[in-house]
Amino acid sequence: MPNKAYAKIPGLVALLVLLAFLPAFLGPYSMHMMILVLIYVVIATSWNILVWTHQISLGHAAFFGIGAYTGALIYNAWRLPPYLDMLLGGIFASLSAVVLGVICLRMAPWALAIATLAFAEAMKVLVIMLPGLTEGAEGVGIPPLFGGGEAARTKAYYLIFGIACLSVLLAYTLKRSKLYYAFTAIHDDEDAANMLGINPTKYKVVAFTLSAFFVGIVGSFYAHYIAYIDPHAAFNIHISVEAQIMPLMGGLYTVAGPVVGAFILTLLGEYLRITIKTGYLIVYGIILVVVIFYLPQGLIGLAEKWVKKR
Amino acid sequence: MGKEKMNFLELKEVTKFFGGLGALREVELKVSPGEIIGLIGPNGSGKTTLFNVITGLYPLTRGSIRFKEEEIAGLKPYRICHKGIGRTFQITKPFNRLTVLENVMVGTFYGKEKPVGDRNQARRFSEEVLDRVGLGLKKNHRVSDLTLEDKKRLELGKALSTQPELLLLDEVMAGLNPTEIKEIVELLRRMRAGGVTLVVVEHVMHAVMNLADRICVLHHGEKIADGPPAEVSKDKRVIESYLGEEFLLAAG
Repeated sequence: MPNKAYAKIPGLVALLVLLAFLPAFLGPYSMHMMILVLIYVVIATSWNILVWTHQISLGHAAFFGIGAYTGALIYNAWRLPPYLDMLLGGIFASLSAVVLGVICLRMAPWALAIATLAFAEAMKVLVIMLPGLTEGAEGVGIPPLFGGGEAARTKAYYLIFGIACLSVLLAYTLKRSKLYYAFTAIHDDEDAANMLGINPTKYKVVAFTLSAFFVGIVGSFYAHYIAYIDPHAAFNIHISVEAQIMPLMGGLYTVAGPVVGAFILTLLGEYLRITIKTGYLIVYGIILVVVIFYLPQGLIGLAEKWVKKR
Repeated sequence: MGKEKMNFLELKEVTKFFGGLGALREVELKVSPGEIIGLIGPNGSGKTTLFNVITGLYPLTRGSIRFKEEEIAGLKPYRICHKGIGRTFQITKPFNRLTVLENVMVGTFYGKEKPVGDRNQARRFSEEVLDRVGLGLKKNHRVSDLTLEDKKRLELGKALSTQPELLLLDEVMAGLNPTEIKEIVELLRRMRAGGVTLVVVEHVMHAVMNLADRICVLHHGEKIADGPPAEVSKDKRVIESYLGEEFLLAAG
């Protein structure tokens, strides 16, 4: 095992260096795309943590939206430093995950999936119905992050780059921690885990809370970066869907899988959108179906098989 | 109170209904420290249900379960595990995404309220447990590569990793051949010598009659006999309901 882990280090360093110097080579549009990629790296990585405990969320847009709205509203009210504001976005998302978790975590996985989907939609409706607090369907404008303009975009890129690294580092650390044993035991057999001294409800709530935290942070980041947030963008079901397709495509349960999936699917989606004028989503859908059907272990699984063969 | 006299595990009027169906009716059972109790009875007589209520997987309908003079009925399974009761499952429940060693590490990490030292200590302890159940050489195997006997050994290893004082074993010998059964019987004797009290559900009659100090017989959720193996195997109700005439003839 250790040898295999060390073998990955040169590639990892090369990737980090490449990403760090990317702004020198890219124009504004490409920079914007990379920022979106990194946002999805965080969302997919966080969603994947939940899968370790055999919980499926169809509502991670809820945590993104809660992060975005707490970020925007608190900033407009108090003008806290944006970093602190993003942290608060993460904390609020986590708090909502605890509440949701305590209510829902005894449910079967499929029931939980539907409950999370409903939660995200309910949050959207709630935000629309409370215009006094949230400015309703019109959305909330906030001053752009770092004053706006191209220099600000580069700064935003480095910020989200740092956040993405932290979220992947969290997943990596978790996977090597004692917690991962509890998560996996619950995933594989909840009764057996319970008989070995693990309180399933507690560790499921822990996974839910950790999973929501960074998604809330990037929600707040997104609101600052775009300088505007509305209910349909914040609680967009598209986010919830991508959150699960990306790990599935890259490789469920792995740390690298969601990262790979986020890169490929974000860029592929954009490429298809530009090159195929009508019906690009059909092609996107077909590619997804083919990958999921023929590569149940995802692209990481394919790569591992390929390395073993050589 | 002397240690021998202590009520280690004491079940009183333990009753479990599933809707209108009485799975356990007023079952009384006393287990002393260091004993091996054989729990036998026909399929559907309530043996596994009894384990499930003792370990908290099913809530009790009525009655009391005391472990080391403390009421444990109503506690969740993980709390009961922390109190010192371990169990195996009839249909083995391995954690398939983990290796053999990692499976046992789960119990080492979480089986006691105060877990075993740091990660290295936990690993060493888990390796010792695997040696004890005879899986030391297969610690890095994937669970899916194990034979049925090894899966049963892993169930024992997982249960032992929580350092239980009382172990409930649900048909660990089912499906094994005579040599394997002999090995498991030896293993259980060693576990008892190591200070673990055992309640063993088993259909392999000659093994359980040899192993157990006392045999309890369940029939339709009621206890119909409780005593030394020689006595129970001659009990008329037990023969009628479970053992059959052949057993009596074979036992001579």
